Amino acid sequence: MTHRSPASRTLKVDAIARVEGEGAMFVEIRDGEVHDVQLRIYEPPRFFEAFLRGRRFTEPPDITARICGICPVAYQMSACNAIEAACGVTIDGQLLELRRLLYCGEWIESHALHIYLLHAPDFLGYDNAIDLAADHAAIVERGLQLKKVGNEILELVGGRAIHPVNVRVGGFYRVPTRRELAPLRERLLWALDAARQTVSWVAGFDFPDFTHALELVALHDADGYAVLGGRLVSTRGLDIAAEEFDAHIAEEHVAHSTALHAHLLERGEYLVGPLARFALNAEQLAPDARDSASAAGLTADERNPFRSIVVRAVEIVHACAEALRIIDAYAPPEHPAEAVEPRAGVGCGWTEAPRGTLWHRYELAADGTILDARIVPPTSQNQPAIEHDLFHFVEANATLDDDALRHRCEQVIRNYDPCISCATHFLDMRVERT
Amino acid sequence: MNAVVVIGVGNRYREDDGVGPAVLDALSAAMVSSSARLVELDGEPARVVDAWTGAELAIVVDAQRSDRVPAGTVCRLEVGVDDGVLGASPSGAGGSHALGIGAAAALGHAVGRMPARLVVFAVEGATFGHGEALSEPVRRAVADVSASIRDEIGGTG
Repeated sequence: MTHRSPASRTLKVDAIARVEGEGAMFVEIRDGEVHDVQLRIYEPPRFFEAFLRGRRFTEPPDITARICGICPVAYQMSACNAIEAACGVTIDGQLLELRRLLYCGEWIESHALHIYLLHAPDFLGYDNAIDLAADHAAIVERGLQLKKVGNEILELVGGRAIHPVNVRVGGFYRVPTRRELAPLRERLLWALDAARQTVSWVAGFDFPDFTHALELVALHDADGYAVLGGRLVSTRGLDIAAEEFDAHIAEEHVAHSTALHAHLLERGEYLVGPLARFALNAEQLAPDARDSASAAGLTADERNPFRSIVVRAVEIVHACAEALRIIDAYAPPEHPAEAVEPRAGVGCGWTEAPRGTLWHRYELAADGTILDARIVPPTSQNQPAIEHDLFHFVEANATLDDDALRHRCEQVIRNYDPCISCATHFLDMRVERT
Repeated sequence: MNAVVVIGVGNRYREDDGVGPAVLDALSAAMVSSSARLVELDGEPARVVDAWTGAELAIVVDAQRSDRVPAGTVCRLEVGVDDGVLGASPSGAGGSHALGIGAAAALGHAVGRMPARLVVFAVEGATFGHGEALSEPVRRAVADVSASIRDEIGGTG
């Protein structure tokens, strides 16, 4: 429903299309000025942190994978990192490389899904990917095949594409042989070329002239484009370890969302995800990805959130190149997993999910029972940034008619590839009984 | 690539939404996996299209909630390669959770990746809450759908 008057109007979208999960948007303009914007997340909370209490320290990779069908590997890897930290174990060598390969599969699958099926129709004047495919079948087919290559990596290393079953604390239940990985090589060579074409394709879209000045936050790892760990850094000097997350970032409940909002203490909203990773780590991309980014005109100063689709495409190039590098150098580890013995303590871990930094924290008893768990997903962190963008975009484009403005506002939200189902698991619930 | 693929769509942990996977279990127990590929999916359209690409016959089993027929009612639809959209419009409001087999068929049609024959068994569910148990009417329907699928497969090739 849309209401319009000369100076005051309300834009409402009750169910935002082409996002993962279910959310709504509300924009109120009074006397020509933006009065309120809300990304309303109304999916019921899922209480995953509560489920984890009392479970064995070995169970979070399988339980938290169920949070999302698009980015289960991110949950598994962050969970493993945090639990291994609590137990004093560090994974390295080929086991770490296999984890990175699995994560490459998820980035390829998730980014291809968002670019081709969810986001590109916005820029090309289509309501959905099916209408886009009717006119450009070969392009959409390229996206589907890219996504499939990602799925094939997940199936081979993770055991299956949705909620992989081969990940465990300490490593894997079974590791692939070189021969088993070999067929992926040809597929990845095709995917690398398709990813380059994807960058060229999306770089040619017509982007609204809009930039923001949000603080950009991402993991940084001296050894490469950060995915599986590192320190959390920002464009304004943040530089913290996983154990310091709570000292710098606070979550709060707002009435219009079942997902907690996150803020940097005394600094406010911030942005995680591809734009932030690129701004902070672009020099560490694989050479193929750096070349693609350069050809697309991307620089580390990019601050137009509409161009996040180009960065996602560049990250597919990077993931394909990384996967090829790992497969070429692969030597099966002697053991599929390192031994991890429980001990009393707290462990924090994070990784770069396709949508941004995903932080886990577990408190363990000496026997490995989970006493407390916390999970802060990227969409939860990005909610204030999304509302910030909405506010300023509407402010700058208030002359657009209702339909055009509503469509553009939905696009502002889709710039972030929000995964609403991931975000809705907050724990604060008050029950008053008399 | 098997000429026949049976795709069970649903979530085993959401009561009657798990009817698709339950039918796959029944077919597996009946050794149908020797003559057909059995695939369990969450219904994400691109994955569904991938699963049925190249198949002579694709059979999809999914739960439905129409609230117009009694729980356990089985609806059989057959969609030809040149038929257009099946079911609800893929462009309708809502996020990815609102997409279903209709969107998969529309996508498959648009990119030229429909099976030669697509048969859909939709089972009316009663409950879609948390838990692995099917309601009694849907549990009974599992046997009927499995028998029907064995008949469909028996009629191919």
